[in-house]
Amino acid sequence: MLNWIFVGLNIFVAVTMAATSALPAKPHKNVILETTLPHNALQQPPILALTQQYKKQLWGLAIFFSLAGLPIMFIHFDSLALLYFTLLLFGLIGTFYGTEIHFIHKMNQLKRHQGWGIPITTEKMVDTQLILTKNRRLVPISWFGGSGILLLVGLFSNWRVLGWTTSWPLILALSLSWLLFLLLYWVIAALPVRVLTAQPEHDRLLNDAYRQTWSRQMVISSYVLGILPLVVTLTTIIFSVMYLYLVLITGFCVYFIYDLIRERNFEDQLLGDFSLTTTTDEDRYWRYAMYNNPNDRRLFVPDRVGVNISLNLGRPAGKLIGGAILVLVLGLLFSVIGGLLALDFGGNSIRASATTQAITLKAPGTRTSQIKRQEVTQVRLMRRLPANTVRANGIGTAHFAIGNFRVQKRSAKLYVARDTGAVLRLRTKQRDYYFSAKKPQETRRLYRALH
Amino acid sequence: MRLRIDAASTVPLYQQIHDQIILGLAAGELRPDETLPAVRQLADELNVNMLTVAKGYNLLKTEGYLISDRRQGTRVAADFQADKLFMQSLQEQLHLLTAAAKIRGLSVAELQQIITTQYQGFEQGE
Repeated sequence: MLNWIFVGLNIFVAVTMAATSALPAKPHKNVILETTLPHNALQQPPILALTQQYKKQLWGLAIFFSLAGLPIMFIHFDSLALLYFTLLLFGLIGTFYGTEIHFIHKMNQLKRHQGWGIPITTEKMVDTQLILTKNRRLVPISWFGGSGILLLVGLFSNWRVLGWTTSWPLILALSLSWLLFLLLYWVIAALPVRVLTAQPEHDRLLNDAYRQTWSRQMVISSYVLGILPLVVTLTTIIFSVMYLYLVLITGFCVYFIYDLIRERNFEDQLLGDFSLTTTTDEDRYWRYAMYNNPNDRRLFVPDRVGVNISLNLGRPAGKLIGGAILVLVLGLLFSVIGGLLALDFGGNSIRASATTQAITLKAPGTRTSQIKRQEVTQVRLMRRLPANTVRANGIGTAHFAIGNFRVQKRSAKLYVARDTGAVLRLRTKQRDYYFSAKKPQETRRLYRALH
Repeated sequence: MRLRIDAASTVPLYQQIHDQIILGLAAGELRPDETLPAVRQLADELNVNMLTVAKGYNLLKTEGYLISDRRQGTRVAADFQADKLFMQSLQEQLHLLTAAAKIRGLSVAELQQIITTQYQGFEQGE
């Protein structure tokens, strides 16, 4: 099952990368492949030929990486499947990014060769009336109230049902993510208004549409996230609620992409009808889809493709946030891979020891549990894990169940290699502990020692 | 009104803000009693220091073009008078410009023609 998910995910990422990487090849505000060109040059044959070649290469890469992901189906070990998938993902992202950079260079060369340079302007223009009413179409901030209440109720139910030790990572992660949407809403409200056309009313239309679309997306995102803790609680009663939530997430992603592309098309149409009055050549600050301008005080800026907001790496806070995200993502990824590798190839990786005072349960990827012998109210040896087992946080694959789970509506900590034929359950007042070493005789030995 | 500033110009930024607002008023792009963005708001939009905008606004307030209060923020004044202070300043500035024109050989008629054209330009909203 996990292998199929990886294969599907790989194809999804490859197709998404091709589709999103192709977006910069469509002119937006006189910028095509990160290169600012005069308005009349955008439809010139050499430009069209280069963008066609670029798109063709992207879709070729999407097919190549989709096929390269198929061998995952035949990998037996979860750790190796994840490692292969991760390496493929890095290769995929790196290749797509490299291709984009290569074509940005080509477009720059073409610009120089054709003499399409635009004089660099240091002039800035603002519309005083537009500044005063720039956020009139912004979705009201009070709309976050509903998602905030949903989140609080959900987190409270998590705490009640799963207990503090199991639910605190979820509570922390979801609260921070919800605050991030609120922060992005504030960023959108604070973004400067742009004077792009000769007509103030057209600038107003562009500004209103941009802020409304993005603020609406932030509010909807906060609801999709805010309902998650309630879904987690409900899955401990009816697991199929999770499938409903996955349908909701998929629907939201489709709508999100549709809405941003609709917004971009609206901007392009309006800008196409009313040519730009200010063609500011910002190419020197945009390097390979990243914005780096130490003289710009803004931390977040609208990107030049028209469907995103970028971080200004020229500011110290920008470098800090960018670095922290990179470290967090890589750290999380490699810690999971490390945990799975240790489980698959670490020999006696799931192990237990018992003294007259306490029982110690250990496994990679989760905390070691020390249970006092007098706290154990019941010891039972079973053939397999009960069917009603739901993961709260931890590793749950076809071969292992490690971490915090909910088993038969009770909070449980699992140290289990699946399908060994022997699972030991230790019951305490607060929670159950399930243990199953890779070799069933070790599980039975512990059972005899405790019984 | 549309306000332009050039960071690379030799004219100080506060002076550019000051001049642009007077030009906007003369051309009718700014109306009497019209609200202007607050100092902080305009500084954020132009990506300049707040003190720069405050200096430009303060100069305009001293000259009677802008008024500000806590409740209504910064606004264009409701009416403008060619008072004694203004007339004195106008005389001084024209005195120097007329001297420079004379040095360069411009006649009285030519100078008058330039002023008339400029004045009419503002009346037509240029």
